[in-house]
Amino acid sequence: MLVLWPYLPTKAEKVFDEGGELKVGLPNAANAPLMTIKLYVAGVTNPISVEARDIIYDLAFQSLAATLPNGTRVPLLATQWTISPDGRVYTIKLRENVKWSDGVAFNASDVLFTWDVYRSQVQFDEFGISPYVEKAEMVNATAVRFTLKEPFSSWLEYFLTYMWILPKHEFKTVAAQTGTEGINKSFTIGTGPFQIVNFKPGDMVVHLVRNTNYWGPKPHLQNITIILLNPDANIPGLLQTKQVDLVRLPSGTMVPAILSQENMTIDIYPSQQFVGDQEVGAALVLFNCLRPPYDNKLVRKAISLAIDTQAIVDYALGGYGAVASPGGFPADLKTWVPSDLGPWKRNVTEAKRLLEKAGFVKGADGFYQFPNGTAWKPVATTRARGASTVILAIIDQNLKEAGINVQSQVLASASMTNAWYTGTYEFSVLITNRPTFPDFIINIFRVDPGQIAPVGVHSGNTPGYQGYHDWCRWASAAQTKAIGDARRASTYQDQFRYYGEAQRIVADELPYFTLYYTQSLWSRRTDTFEGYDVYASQGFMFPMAALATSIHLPSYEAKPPPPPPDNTMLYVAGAVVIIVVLAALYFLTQRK
Amino acid sequence: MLTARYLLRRTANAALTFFIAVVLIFIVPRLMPGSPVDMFASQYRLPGPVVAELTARFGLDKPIETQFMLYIKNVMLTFPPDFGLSYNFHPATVWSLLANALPWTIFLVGTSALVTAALGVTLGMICAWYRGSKLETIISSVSVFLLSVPYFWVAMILVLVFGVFLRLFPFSGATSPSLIHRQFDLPFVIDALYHAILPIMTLTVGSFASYTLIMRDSMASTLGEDYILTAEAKGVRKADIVVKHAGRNAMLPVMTLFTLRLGFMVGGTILAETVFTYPGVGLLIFGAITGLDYPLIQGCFFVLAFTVILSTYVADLLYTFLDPRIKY
Amino acid sequence: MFIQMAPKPRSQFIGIILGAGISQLLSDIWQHRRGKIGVMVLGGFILISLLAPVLSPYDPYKMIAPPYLQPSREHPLGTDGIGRDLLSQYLWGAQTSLFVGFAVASAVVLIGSLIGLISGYYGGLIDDLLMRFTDELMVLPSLPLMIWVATMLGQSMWNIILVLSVFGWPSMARMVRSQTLSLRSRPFVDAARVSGASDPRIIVEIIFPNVAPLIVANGVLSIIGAILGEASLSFLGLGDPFHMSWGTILYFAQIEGAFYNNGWAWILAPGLTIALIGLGLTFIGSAISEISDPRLRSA
Repeated sequence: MLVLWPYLPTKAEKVFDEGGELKVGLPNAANAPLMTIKLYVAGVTNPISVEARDIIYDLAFQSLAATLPNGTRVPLLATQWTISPDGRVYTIKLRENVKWSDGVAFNASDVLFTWDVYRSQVQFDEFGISPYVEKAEMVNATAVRFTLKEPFSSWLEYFLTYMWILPKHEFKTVAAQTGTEGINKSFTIGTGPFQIVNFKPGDMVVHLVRNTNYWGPKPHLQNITIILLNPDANIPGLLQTKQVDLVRLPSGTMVPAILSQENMTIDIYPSQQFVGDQEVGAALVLFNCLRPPYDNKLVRKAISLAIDTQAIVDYALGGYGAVASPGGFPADLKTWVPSDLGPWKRNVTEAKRLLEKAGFVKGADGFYQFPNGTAWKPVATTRARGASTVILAIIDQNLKEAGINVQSQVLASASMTNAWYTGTYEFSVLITNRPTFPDFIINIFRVDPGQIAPVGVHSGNTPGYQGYHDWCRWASAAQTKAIGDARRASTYQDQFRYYGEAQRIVADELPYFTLYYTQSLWSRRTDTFEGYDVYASQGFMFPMAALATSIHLPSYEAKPPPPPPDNTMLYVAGAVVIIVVLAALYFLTQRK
Repeated sequence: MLTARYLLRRTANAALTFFIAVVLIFIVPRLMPGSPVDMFASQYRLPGPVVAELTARFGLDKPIETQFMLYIKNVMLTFPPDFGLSYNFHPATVWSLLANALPWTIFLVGTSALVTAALGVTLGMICAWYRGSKLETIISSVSVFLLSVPYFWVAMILVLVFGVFLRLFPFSGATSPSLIHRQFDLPFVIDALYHAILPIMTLTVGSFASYTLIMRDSMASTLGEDYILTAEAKGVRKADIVVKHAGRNAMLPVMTLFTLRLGFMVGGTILAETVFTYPGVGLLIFGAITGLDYPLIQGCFFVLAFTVILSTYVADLLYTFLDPRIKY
Repeated sequence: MFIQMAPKPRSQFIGIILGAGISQLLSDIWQHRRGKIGVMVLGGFILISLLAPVLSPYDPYKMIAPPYLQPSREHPLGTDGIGRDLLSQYLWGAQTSLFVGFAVASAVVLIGSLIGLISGYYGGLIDDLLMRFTDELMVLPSLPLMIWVATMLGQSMWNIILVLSVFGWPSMARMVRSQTLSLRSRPFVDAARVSGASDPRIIVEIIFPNVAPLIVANGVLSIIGAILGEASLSFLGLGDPFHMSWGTILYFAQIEGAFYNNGWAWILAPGLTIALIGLGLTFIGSAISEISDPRLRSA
């Protein structure tokens, strides 16, 4: 198999002088907090946002393989993989002569260690693949074998591409990862072409140096400096003053400002083919499928048809995005999206027809009412973040034009999430990132890892509960079956067929409506380094990697337990004395 | 005149106010609907055991009295005050975040306070000197106008003019991102000043008007005093009269205003820092509030309350000290 | 003319407060040079806001044109980032901003003067407690607290009004209290007490009329404080984005990239208007002060 070098452009452009430094700016939504609590590698990367963090990790850590936009799998730490005829036993051969950045040899025990970490906590295994595994064993120092309980056609994709491999010798035990020291170390020891130098929470700059022990071709650059930017930062200014060489744009609205300057250009990566990450920015409308009238799929469909998604792409994204397929994936993801599920088009006439079919009647004020004459005022909500507000403003107008008297509200972030979690919302706009791998269709908003939820399962305070929340409160036996079939499929055609089925069900039922997928916009100066051609080089500056293995709860200075409260009385007495003295002084010294 | 009794009374007053503020800062987040842990547990879809561990980590599993005692101990009786770990910047401590942000805000506030005072006082004196003239009318009118201008709007206009149209000054951040080796050397200082120009201009434009008007009024009343008349009769130069005799006395209200303002400015920089994404306490507070980062909110409010109470206290004392006519 | 320092018969107090006093006040303001300008400016903007449904060329929430257009005949202020007409937003925004301003000012005047009068008149423990409460409110930084409460309550115009009112009354209370204090020790108040008038009556009929000019002057100024406060909170994103106000317009300017798309009219109009209205209100306020206290008239 052709081994592709994802880190260098193939055309020998003059990128940098040997050993140069590349400064990359990544917008970091500072309110993307608690990333440490979430699943990913090395809690100390807080408060780096998901997008930025993944790009950084991809430089220092590697998964076993990576998947290119056209579906080809690129071997990284694994070179070969075979599946037994019954589809249950996976034998994965690892690359030989790989060293960690500190010189220690990489071998199968690292992979098994990482797997142990990954499945040690249910929240790490976001895709629910560990329940499928019956046995994980080391064949020899360079091969591992996983035996599944039943065939799961997508298991390999998750396993190979969504786990960053961690160095066992740094931790030795899964539990050891919780110590601060362990985490700091882990962060700097990887198999990737670059090595993170050091980082502490609150830092807005991450330094990477070339990993001299890297198994692949020597990276051209000596240093990469990743600068985390506030999304409001003056990015055109930074480019102009050469503070950054390459920067990812948080939105399309500043594109005209950049292009109007000399020596600057924008590289656009089409929706699902985002460089460096298998997650793509998307926006969805979530329906609370347990709450009338949204339990009627005609109503959900009508609302979705009334929304002008193209206008949203044009205005909110500046045109740099694409309308999604109603099945939930990018419309141009030809490898997995059936051709009959093309991009959604607005159709107000059809929307009205469906509403009328559902029983609504047009009132005297031109808005639809319930059959019994009460007014219908649906409440659309979203979180208070700039882009969501703009999208909701557009949807508000679209729906009103179609005769739906929507009341739009912007809620505080916590209130919105609470509403999703407790099912007190009607329908909402959510901006998120989604992997574009089709098996992921099952994972959105499901409750139990690996299963489609029974609806109505609730909060984390329920004893024994472990998992996420089905915000849409929707389930379908047909979908469960389709996904199950797809996972058991043994050929790509069958997979395509069954995943297509699953998408058709979503497109028909619309428990959530996918508005768009964004394009990824990167900007750079044309005179600092020559362009790099992503497709020609078959690779990216920042290679694909996936969701990480994670370690346990984030680094935490283990403090000694607080002193037992036998000092309490002392403090109470002290406080009382202080207050009394102060008050006395104050009143005593007061004279008219 | 500054008597010991007055000093004592003022100090006790300030300390009492501060203590009450500290208590309020503890109570209010807990009055908000939903415990802080529930808030972020629901927000990040955390499973039960994780929530339990986090609750323990943030010390929220203890009874409220113990929490309060620990809070008082950590906040008032230790230095630096320990507010625990920030939720959003976990595992950084609240104090470390404040320690990073405070210098920037103090730099911004301090510099602009000085510039504002200098500008305002000078203009006020000019107004007094040229009393009744067109110049005075212009300055006064502009000042009054500026008093009602939303100063974040001034920030936006400055960004438009200087940042976008003229491209003279940067309008985001405190330093160039590429200056990442934060040594306190000359390029760093110059760069920091360069980035601070627009925020300082904003804060100045928004505040000098009150200094001007107060100085003008104060000068007007001082110049009407008898001793000025005496000085004029004696033939003292006008410049000396205005600056040395009247000016010094008229400065009193300005001094107290200055000290008062200084304290409030720390909290007041939120708008300027938001427009310029200047990483000071204002931006930190704003992020903490919208991100529901309770420990950080507590820490920030503590710092703000402290600065305000301190500056009020100093202003009071200063006024009494400087004005011998006041008897207490 | 407004009452000065001498006591007046009871009936005249009531009459002066209502009707006659107000129209007299207004005509006095009108005759005052700066007051006239202030009234014209304020009146003009109020008129515009009331006529917004008539004057506004488009629905401010509808996307009717290409985005980021420069000012032109069809769109005198241009269009915003999603193609909505800015002039319409501006006109409708006037309604919200002015309404919030007046509503908050009314609340502030009501609460502040009530507390100030009671505190100043009764003194003693009530005064101490009330003033301590007021001081605590003044000491805790108001903008962060307002942001916090607004975040908790959710984004609506009424929450903004609530928040601004709660943090606006302390300074009014303090001022009213000090004026009340100085009035209370005047001989004519003692005279009234000796002659058997009850406390509430004294407050309403003697103290209040003398404090009224101060209250009115500062009430007028608190309108501008309220408008500025609303603009600040909306600018930070805490206002209701589906209820246009001048602050909300600037908020959208920030998030929709007005800086990068040459939206100078977009940014200029709302802020300039607020400043002009503030100027007008300041003129009116100083006119009231000068009318009621001739010593303050400039030479």
